[in-house]
Amino acid sequence: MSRPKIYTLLGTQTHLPPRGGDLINEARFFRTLSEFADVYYNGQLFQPDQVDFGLKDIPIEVPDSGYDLYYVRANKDIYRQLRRPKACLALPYDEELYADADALFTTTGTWRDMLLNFSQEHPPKSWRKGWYGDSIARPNCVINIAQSADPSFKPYPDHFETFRYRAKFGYGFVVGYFGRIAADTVPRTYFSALPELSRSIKHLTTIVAGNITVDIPRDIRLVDRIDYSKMPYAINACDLVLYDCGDDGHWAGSGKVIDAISCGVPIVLPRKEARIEQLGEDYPLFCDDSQELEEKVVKFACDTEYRSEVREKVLALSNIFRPRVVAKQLKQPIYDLIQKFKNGN
Amino acid sequence: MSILSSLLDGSTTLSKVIRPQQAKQHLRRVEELPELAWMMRSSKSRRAFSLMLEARKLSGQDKLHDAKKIYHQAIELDSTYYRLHSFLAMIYHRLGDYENAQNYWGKALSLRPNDVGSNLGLAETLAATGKLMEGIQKIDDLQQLFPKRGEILARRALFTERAQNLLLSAEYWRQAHGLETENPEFALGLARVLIKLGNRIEGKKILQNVKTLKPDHLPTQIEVGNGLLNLNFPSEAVKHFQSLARSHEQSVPVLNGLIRSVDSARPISEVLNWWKEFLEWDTLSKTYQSHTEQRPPPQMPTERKTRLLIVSYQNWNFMQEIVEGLAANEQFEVRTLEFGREIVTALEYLKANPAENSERLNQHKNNFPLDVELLEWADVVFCEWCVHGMVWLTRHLPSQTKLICRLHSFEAYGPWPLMVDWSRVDHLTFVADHIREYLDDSLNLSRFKNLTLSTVTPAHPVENFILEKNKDAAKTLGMMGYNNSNKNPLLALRILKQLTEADTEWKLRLVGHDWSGKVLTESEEKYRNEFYQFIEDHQLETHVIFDNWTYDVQDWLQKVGFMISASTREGTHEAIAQGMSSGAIPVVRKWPLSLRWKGAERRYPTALLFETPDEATQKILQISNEGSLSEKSKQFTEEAKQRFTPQVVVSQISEMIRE
Repeated sequence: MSRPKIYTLLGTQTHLPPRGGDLINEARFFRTLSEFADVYYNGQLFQPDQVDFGLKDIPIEVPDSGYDLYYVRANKDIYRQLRRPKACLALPYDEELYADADALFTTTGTWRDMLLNFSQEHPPKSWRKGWYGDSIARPNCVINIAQSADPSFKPYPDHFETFRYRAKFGYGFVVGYFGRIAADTVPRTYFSALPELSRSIKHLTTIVAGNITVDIPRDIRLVDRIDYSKMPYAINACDLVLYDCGDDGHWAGSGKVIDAISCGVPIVLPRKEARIEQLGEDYPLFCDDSQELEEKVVKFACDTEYRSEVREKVLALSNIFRPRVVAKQLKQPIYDLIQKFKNGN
Repeated sequence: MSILSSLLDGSTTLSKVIRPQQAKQHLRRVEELPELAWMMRSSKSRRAFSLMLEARKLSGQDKLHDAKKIYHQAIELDSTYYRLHSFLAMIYHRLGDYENAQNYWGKALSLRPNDVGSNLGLAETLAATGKLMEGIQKIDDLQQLFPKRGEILARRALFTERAQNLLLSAEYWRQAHGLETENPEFALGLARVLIKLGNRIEGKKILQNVKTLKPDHLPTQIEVGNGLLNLNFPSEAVKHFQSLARSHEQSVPVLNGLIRSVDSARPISEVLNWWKEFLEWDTLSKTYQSHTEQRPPPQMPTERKTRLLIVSYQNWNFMQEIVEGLAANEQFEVRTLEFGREIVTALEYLKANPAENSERLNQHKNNFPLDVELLEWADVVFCEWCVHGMVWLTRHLPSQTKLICRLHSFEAYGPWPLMVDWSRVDHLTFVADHIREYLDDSLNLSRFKNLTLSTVTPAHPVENFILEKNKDAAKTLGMMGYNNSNKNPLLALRILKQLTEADTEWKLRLVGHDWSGKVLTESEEKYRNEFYQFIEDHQLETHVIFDNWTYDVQDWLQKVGFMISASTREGTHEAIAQGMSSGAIPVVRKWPLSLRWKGAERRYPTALLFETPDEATQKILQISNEGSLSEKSKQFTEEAKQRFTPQVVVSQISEMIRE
């Protein structure tokens, strides 16, 4: 098959400035798709290596035809007007879309399996967390599009910007948390271990850059919003990155995990199904309680050999998230979906 | 106080609020009444309302994260009050979290679709996410509903201004101003657009009007001063800020406004003297001198590593090798601190006695506990740049802590060294001898008994710059950073013109930001125009290459054979040192502002030094024609290795810390 032509759209976004998680995640997906397809966002060719992906703020127009596949996220009105085959993201749950879409896209295999095997008993109630009820409309096809890294996230140990963030963060042993901290994402395990960690690790500095809606300990340094283009350097300036999530983390993807390991910075996180899928069962910094976290973080901070080992391991792990690697797995299911409709199904 | 808050604390009554004679004045407040009735309905609502007032107070103090948390708590108690969502959206917007901002504007509007504030707020957020036209559409829709609302017209004016339609924007501002002539914001908006349109006379007239509208409202008066400055009336701006400074010694923006005005109104060579007079330096310095007796010299620990805190205010450009080098030194424990919002300097600090520093520092503990902890932890504080942060440190650092400052170049010509209490400083290090001598001559620093002085030149990783040159480099001049008259790229063009007359292969590469996006003074604008005109007049378009700003200076230098310093004033002009490391031949003007101290000659004694473009051209052509470029290039790299490697500099700074 020659390169297929894919129409894409996210909500009412006319173009894709790198602001907010959804826009960033979609842009990464389109970069991966672009490895084997011509991706058009809002009717304009998505060019992964151009400034703002070569996209301009132009009005949204619904295409009559001309594409091999239509993918729309969070815009039901437009979705309804499109030709087939059409796909949408499996979130948020929408009965009409689930029943109608020719394919639902998930970002992890765990999520895909959860939808395919959805029942009253599975997944557990806590995993559904407002996203899913007791039952769902049976999807026609579910494709795990997986997640890929933004190539600008890589190790920059000697870069001036990395130094600048190190200086900004205090030049100690830096543990960084990037992103929203709300009631469901408070890194409680880390916070409860913090007093002991501070005693054991010299010059421990915890920095938080993101949106905080709950009380956090006073010995944490809040950092102003970091522009997306500077994020790789800010991550590089950390010795460890923290991640926490609610029970939906058992199935939902996480770009932050990929960002950290792509920079060669290990990430401390709770053991959840989707994280195991991304990092492997034997990932060394899964922590289920504050004692385990304390032990592992102290070992990481104080044992330089162990630290180098873990760093090497995460960097090696990050290879599987390169767009080209992810695209290799994604190409066939997308081609199959398109082919199915070309064959008149 | 709003009606809602008045009622909540019982200081007024509903009937009092809506008395007919006050109706007009409170017209917009009265719109709150339906919500008021609702809010008073249940204890949860009242609690939510109290939280809202608390959060508003916090947001007024710029404590946005704290305000956000409290708004969330309020919404948890009662999610049906549109203002809570609207205020929270504004907080998210200010924090740059536009996704959440949009979400909460949406919630506010679902509760009250025609709310002007929420609609305008949503338009702002849309614009911030690149959807300016959608934002304008929102405002136009709103204007259809409320055609005579000044705030809507003003926002339309603002958006039109952003869309670069200045004439139309001025028209909207005029309409808004016409509806509410007493509103200083609208007048200031109109003045701002007039400034951009270059309509200085009308702009000045409007500003003079604003000045009388709210004579005691400091933020308005600061805007007036800034407006005068932007309209290129720097002398008037100086007078305005000077008079404000006398009555508002505690105001940081006033001092900053005064500094910018004086910088624009005076040639750089006169700025320090202006400030000496304004600050009554002779008296001030005697006050500083009198503090000396109160402080014993700090003692360095012998039983443990020296705790070194390196501080800077955002600019760490020249510190990477130094911080990394010191951190690798077994003698030191190194931490860094980037000064934040706590570091503000106002004229009132000049009266502060360093004997009370610990007490003053303690006052910051509540809001900036981690910063205070670091400042208290340190045995030595090394302050990069002699600017407001340094002034602050001399009034806050505990007396037993050793304080070192590094002064580069621009600081020496401004007010900050006059505001630093030198009795509280142990060591002042300069990046160049001529700056040291200039400042010592100007301030007579040697009279401060406990203050020692030194010169340590900046460093860079020389080895990283040693890369093979491109073939074209042999006939390519280079200049790093060119978008201001001090760097004088026009002089480089004159040299280029003469070179191209001898050989058409000569090129000039300019790397860095151009003038776009900068607010230019009249003289800077004139300079920029002359620069571009020169290129056009002499058909140099194909000989001048503009390269975008880049981190990868080493790569860029591979294309350059001769590095030009044409500046009027420099401390060390690091680009030249970096060029030398790469093997580019330094071509350095004898910097006019430091001629008396032989600044360029002492910093780059082996360079091709010149005073006129003719002289520079001849020296360049001589090297080029005699075929000695490669040999000379190696010599300069060798010299750079000897003088600029970080190890040399780090060792000098280490000694300074331990001495």
